[in-house]
Amino acid sequence: MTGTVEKRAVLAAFDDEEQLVDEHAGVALIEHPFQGYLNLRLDPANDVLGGAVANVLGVALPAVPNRTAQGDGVVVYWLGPDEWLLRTPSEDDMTVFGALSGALGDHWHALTDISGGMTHIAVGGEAAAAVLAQGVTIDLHPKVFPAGHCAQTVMARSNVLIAPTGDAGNAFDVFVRRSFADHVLTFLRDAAHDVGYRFSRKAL
Amino acid sequence: MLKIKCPWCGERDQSEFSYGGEAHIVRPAEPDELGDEQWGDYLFFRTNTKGLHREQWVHSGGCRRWFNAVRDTVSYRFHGVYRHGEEGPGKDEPGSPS
Repeated sequence: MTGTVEKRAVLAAFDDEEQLVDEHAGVALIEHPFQGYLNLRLDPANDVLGGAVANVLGVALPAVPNRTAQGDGVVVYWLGPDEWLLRTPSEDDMTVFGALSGALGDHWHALTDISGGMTHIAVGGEAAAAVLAQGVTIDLHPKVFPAGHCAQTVMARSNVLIAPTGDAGNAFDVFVRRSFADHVLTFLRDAAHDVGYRFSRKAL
Repeated sequence: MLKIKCPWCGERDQSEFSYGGEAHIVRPAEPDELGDEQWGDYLFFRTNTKGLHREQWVHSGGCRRWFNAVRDTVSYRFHGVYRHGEEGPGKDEPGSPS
């Protein structure tokens, strides 16, 4: 067989629907497709591995639970005491994967490309926290959940990873498995319906 | 609704957790040597404690790690959580592993 298959974003089915991004609404939901996601597991007590990874990423793996770290073209999220998520700008660029594989070599570790299984919805706007709060039980206030933190939690019965992108409490990154993305976006739009309406009235 | 303290993530809502039954049940080293009654006891029979109960939980909606907790089965109050391999709180209290 010849020919190419056109890439399709996880949430492409919503593109034709109205008000995916409504500038009058209190919240903007923006999918960031086609990013690279790597799942990395290794023994955190092994300083040799930690050093090798920090060399590649330009930043040490966060040891404190539910924290993020910004490296060279890669964002690291704590997923567990021996597990991290690495987010890179493009799923087609295997530079980080190759460099990490080389650095970790035969040491006991697991490095898995899970790019095709994830997508990223940025939730921004004044009502961002209020909209998300309808689906999660964690406290999203920037006093307890500032930039640099992340949390895996359950939103609308779906497992998600949430990370605030500022300290104002009005911008969050939501990472969700692709098979749940449709449901989560539908939930967010429903949750934003009320709050968005209220905010658009206030703006007038 | 209970608030449960994950040893890693801190206090989270009960809806993020799954229950894993009584803790500290050790699999017999030589299962072939056991009679049906002993094997059945290991598989199916639990202490059904009234009071402080050591039990397993998993933070399935969060970091997906297992841990142990001491919970009062009467009041449902959590008296503490501890990671696998750790001793846990109140060793001399009822429900502590022998």
